[in-house]
Amino acid sequence: MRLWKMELYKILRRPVLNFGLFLIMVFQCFIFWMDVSGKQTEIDGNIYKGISAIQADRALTEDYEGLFTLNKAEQIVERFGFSGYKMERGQKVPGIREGNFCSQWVTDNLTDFNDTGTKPAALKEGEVWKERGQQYLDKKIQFGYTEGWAYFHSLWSWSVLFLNVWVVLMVMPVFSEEYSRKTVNVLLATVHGKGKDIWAKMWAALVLGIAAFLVITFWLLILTVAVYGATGIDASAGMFDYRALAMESESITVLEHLLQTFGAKLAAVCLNVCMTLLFSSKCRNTASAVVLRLVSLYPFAWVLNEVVYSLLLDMMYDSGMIHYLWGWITLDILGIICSSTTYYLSWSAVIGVPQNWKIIVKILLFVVMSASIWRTAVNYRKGNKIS
Amino acid sequence: MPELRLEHIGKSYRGLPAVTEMEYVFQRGIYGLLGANGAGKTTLLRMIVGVLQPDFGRILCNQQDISHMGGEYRRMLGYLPQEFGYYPNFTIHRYMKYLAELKAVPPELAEERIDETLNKVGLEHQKRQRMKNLSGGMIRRVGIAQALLNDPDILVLDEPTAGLDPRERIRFRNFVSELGRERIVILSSHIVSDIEYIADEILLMRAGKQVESGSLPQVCRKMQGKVWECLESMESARRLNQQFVVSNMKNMEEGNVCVRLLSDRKPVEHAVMAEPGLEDVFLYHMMQ
Repeated sequence: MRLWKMELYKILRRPVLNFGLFLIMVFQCFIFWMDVSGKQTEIDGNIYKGISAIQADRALTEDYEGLFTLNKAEQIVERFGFSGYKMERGQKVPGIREGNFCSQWVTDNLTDFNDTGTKPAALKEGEVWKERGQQYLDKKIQFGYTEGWAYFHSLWSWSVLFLNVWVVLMVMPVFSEEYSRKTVNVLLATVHGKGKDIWAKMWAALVLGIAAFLVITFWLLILTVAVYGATGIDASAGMFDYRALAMESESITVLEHLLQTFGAKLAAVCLNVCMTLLFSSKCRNTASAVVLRLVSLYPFAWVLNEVVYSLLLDMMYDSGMIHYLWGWITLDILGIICSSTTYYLSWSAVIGVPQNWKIIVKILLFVVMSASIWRTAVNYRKGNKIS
Repeated sequence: MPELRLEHIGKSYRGLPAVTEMEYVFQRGIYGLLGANGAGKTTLLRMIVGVLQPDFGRILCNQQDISHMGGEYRRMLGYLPQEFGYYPNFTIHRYMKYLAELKAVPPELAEERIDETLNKVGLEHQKRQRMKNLSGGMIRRVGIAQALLNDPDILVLDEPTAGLDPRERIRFRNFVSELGRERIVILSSHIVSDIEYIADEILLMRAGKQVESGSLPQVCRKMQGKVWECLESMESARRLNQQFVVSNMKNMEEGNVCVRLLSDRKPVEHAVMAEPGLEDVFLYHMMQ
């Protein structure tokens, strides 16, 4: 335990980098402030702004809470109409939204407004209703005020993306600095240098990553509850995350969704710590190791999914390979790998994948993290690496 | 008391041999490892402390292979590497405490050991200073102190006197002499006088190989008849310097030069045989 504390002290003794975590928290506050200050809602001819708009929307949503039905949707449309963009005369760029939380939600999710940008004429029109709108009724979603949770969900992902960069900067020196400072020769010749100390270093890095994740998560949670309140936690997560609606036979609650998201994001941070430690144990120069890791952290995963996967999919469609079992298997493997990267785990993309993929992703993450930890220890112990 | 046995050990870097077929037995006493830069001294010492694995051969400590002993072997070790690394923002005390923990010094004894070793190297009053504010010599002394922290049975010191001023070097030599009475001390240096003063046994290395070993009188005895001195004019001294390995040239009165040189045969008619010193032995083998 003493050794672990000393290793944690070594990691934390970087005031400039510690400031990075503080910056992420300031960024969260700033985004919240921006959001609240621009908030506006319109209920029965009255316009509310800022915190009042949130309170008015919360109060209004209480009228429609519970199982969402076609009848409720029609009542909302009848009372408030559809929500479009407010356009001043001569204005070309869409302005702020008309209406309130309920009318905006019905317009966005039950009509093709998001595709066309124009106000729909009626509720049950066209293919969109069959493809999407009907699903909200079929899945028996629970209606509630989820705007705060939607905001929390999106800002949480961004915060974790920034946090992972910070984690790379903090964790990378754990081993590489021992090489560059040439302290490794002394450490490896001590009783615990090749055993307990390696685990203490890795454990300290992992605890730092998890603790930082918990800090930014709870900070964001406090901001969300303070501004939006805790209402809507038992509503359906499908109200703001279509993936939660599409992949489950019954719609899951916001709380369940947040817990799943929490797991995915925590896995992203842990995977990032393990992979960063692996890079750290392999590179003598901390700066070049950081650059390499950052490239592999986000751009690599993005290219793999957006470029490689798309190209492969097109190629398989064109050549007809898509109709073969191995063609599907290849795409599935690539999809699973993408879902298991830090980048997509930070976005909680794993929530939208099929149930059997989720099991494979969990196994894959366990194997990759264990292998990274094992390889890190081997790399560091190898004396002949340090010449 | 431990016995350390090197059995035909060797190590190469990218196909280039750094240490070849090294065989030796270390018992209680001070061993001076002498060799030019690149002779393989540091590689040998790093294999002895287990930081490097030999490509072939094995190192035995009390008949046990050190690669199988793990922490049990390292518990007996104290090591000062040639390039001694430290954390600039740590105070001496914090750094020593960290190493005491790594060396499994019991926490209740750690403070006492830290004070004792810092006292030995004369840094007891600087222990709250940050390491980034220390001079090169002071850093070296911290390095020596940490090597002694666990009261090791085997003390390995790679260039311990580099960066020390003459007073510190004398102080260091005296306490290493003391330490050698009850443990194995292996120290490498290319400062011949350091080895000459304190080593009980001398190992000379060249191109990764052991070329000479024995006590100071033994290795010097082997050089009998190979060290010569003669009084020459400046012109003639220059000529001799080109033909032979000259270990010293000293200006004398009337423009003459006293030349001390190494040669298997008498270099000039009027040359007289001189008593060999370790510097002569070192030069003789390095120039082979």
